[in-house]
Amino acid sequence: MSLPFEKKKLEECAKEQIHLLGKVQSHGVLFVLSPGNLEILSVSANAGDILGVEPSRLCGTSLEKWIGEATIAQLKLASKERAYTFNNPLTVHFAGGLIFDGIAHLSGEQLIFEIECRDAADISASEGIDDYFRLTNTTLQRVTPEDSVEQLAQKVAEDVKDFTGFDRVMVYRFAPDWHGEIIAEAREDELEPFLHLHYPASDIPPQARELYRKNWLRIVRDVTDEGTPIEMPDQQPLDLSMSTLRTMSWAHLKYLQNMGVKATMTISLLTPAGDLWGLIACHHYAGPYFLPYKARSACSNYALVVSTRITDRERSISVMRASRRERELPAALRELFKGQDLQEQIIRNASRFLHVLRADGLVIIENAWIETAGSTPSQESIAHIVENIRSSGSRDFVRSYDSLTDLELTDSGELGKSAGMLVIEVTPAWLVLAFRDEFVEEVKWGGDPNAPVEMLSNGRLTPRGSFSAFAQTVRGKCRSWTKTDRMIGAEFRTALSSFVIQRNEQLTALNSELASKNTEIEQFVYSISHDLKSPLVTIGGYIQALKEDLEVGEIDELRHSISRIDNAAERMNRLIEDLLAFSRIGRDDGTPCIIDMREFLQEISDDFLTNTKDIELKLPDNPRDILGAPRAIQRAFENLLNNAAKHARRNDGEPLSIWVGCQLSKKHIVYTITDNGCGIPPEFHERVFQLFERLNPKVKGTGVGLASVTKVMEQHGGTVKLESSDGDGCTFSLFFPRSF
Amino acid sequence: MPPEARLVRFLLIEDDPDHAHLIRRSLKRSRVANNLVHFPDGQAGLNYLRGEGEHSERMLPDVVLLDLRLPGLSGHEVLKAIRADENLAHIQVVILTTSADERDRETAAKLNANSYLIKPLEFSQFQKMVDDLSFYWGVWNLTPSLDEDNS
Repeated sequence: MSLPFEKKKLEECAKEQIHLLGKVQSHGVLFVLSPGNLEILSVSANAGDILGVEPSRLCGTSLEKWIGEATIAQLKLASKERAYTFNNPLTVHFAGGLIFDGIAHLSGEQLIFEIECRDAADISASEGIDDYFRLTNTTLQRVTPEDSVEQLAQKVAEDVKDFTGFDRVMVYRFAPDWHGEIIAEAREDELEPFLHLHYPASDIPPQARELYRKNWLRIVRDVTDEGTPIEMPDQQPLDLSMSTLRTMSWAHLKYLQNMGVKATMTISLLTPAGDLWGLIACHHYAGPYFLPYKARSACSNYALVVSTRITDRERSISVMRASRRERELPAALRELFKGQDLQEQIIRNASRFLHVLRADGLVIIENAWIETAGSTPSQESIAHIVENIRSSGSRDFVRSYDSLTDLELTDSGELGKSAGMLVIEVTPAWLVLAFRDEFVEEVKWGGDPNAPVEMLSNGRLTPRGSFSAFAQTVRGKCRSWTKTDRMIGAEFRTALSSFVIQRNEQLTALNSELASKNTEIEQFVYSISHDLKSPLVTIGGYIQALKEDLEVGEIDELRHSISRIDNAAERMNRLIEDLLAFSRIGRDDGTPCIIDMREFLQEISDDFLTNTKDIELKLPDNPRDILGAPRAIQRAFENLLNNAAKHARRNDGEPLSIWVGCQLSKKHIVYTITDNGCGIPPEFHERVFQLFERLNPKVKGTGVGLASVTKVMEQHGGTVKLESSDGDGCTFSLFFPRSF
Repeated sequence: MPPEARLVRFLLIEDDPDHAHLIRRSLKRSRVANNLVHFPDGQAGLNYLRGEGEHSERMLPDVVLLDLRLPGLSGHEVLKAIRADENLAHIQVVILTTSADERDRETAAKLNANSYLIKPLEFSQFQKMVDDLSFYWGVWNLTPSLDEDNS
């Protein structure tokens, strides 16, 4: 028996239009009526058996002729309002004294009126909606907030069994692939347990699931009942989706018979969105079994309430788990941002991320570079997988694979223990793959899932005859990636990409900083090459002069040359020391702190005044504290004061005065150092701040002082400005940002 | 043999007193008769060239020896001023500096410096360079006689 053939037959089964079969169960009669005048258009063939009136006599007459006036009045009223189901069931007194439950609904333009014999029921229904309350309250009172979905389902199964009297009541849950598992069961002791058995998706094909979604309760009184046909005039199709008497498909009845079931009732469990979540499946083995309409109605309303309870519980458990998982992420991410190299940090903290993602192995891929941690496939396999992922053209940044065999890799032998993966695409070039090891699962099936059907000698497929537990070992799969896993993956991705953006911005900033550093270094090297060479030229020159003078014995010249050599050597030393000090600005200045400027300026002033004569120095009355590296700030102030003392001599010989001032602007604390000296011509204002630039050749100095001030201020995020006109004193302003 | 040697007048603009001293000493030992006037900064040198104030009686030099790194006006700025002054534009300007920087040389050439010499680190070479310099300008090279005295 070839599998494709079998598969084809299964697909045919899936196409069977079961709601258009046109057969009803034998314990009731189905009328097709014209809604306006209640003319009987058609009736099921068993009318003669149940009502004692042949269909031929019924068809073409009005229903009024056959049933009690009160019921007719109700039907007519419902017909006018086109709302039938609210009144169900109607009590129907049929001619000859028989009493039925009448159930009306519209199907297209036709009114379907089904009557069920009350005597056929195996339990009696109470009046009103007492049944519903009794059933619902029992369960709700037994439910506790700690119940898992399975515990809740167990209580449902027990209560339904209690209420309906079926031999076995099961709660069946659909998996995302539509196969199902029995998660709760209440049964008579002598029955073999079905709990935790799985059933293949083909056991309940899509169109059956669709009917379960629309019509919440189906009952089959007797699975051996082949049903009775309804002949429609002109072979019009009749949609019996909402019919309560409709027969199930032959295959399904056969399936139940093979299981040893005699009667069954199935109630749908729906999600709040109206999707099929599962079923309450009731089996009866002792013989045909039937519940009156009111009891069924109580069951289906009850199912609606417990559906909400179950799906709510399921959701809140998953939300709780997800939020617990979510809380693990930030701590792990904090580790990540401690280092500069993100990928290295991920690998270094791999165990944390493996835990967060519930994975066994982690792989970071940037272009062709691959780094792994934990249990992963071989490097070659990863390269292969990456190629596969990149060519897949998927637009999802985070996607999961429960099995790597879906990727159709050629060398699956190299996968190691890994069986599934979560792909996190940070950028097109940068991927993070989380791998899960194979999870070998024992699944117990209700019968062999690989052979859900068997072939009869006439070539017809029949549902499998054996439903005894069939253990299957599932290999090549990992524990399924959940929505939460993917959500954590997505959050991980968001964090990583924000880091990438941040890193790019840092790089851009670094590049521009480097560019300005380059200019600075060039200027520096230029100055050094010139200014350090100068004393060397001097030394070389005087040494030659010494040689010549020694030969002719010019002693005075000798003395002069030696002192000049000394002087040049000393100057060179000073230059080098100043240079070193300059280059150290911003490196060895210690930690910035808030400087008490009153005390700080007083100390600087005391030092300054002991080393100078005839200079008056005034400090500000209300100095504002600043944030800075004290040693560097001290250097800046000292340089400016010394600069004033050296250069700002007054032309008239009067003593020099220096004022230190402090003002606040919107964004800055501004310290000013003002002198009443000879001033600096505007054309030199820019050059005085450059390294080794000097204005006056007669004043000793290396030209590092003001360049140092500039550098100190740059290090503190501030600036220095000079205001002066020739002969009218100078004001140097230090702008410190008001950063605190 | 070279033609008759003339007295060569040098103007030195040099802020480093030692370098000035060494240049003066070398010129004294030159084979060619010469005369040297020295100023430590560019502005003073320009004032002299322009015959301003106390310098009204000055003789225009044949050659200006110009350092580049100077306090106040830089050597390049002094050169620019000389070339921009129609009375001075013809004067030979020799840049005499420690800087071997390509940009300095380029700037000097663009400003029409006549020569660019790098101060050597050995004095024997220094002596020879200054000697050659005075010999070249005093003997081989004929400068136009635009001095007020000759016009």
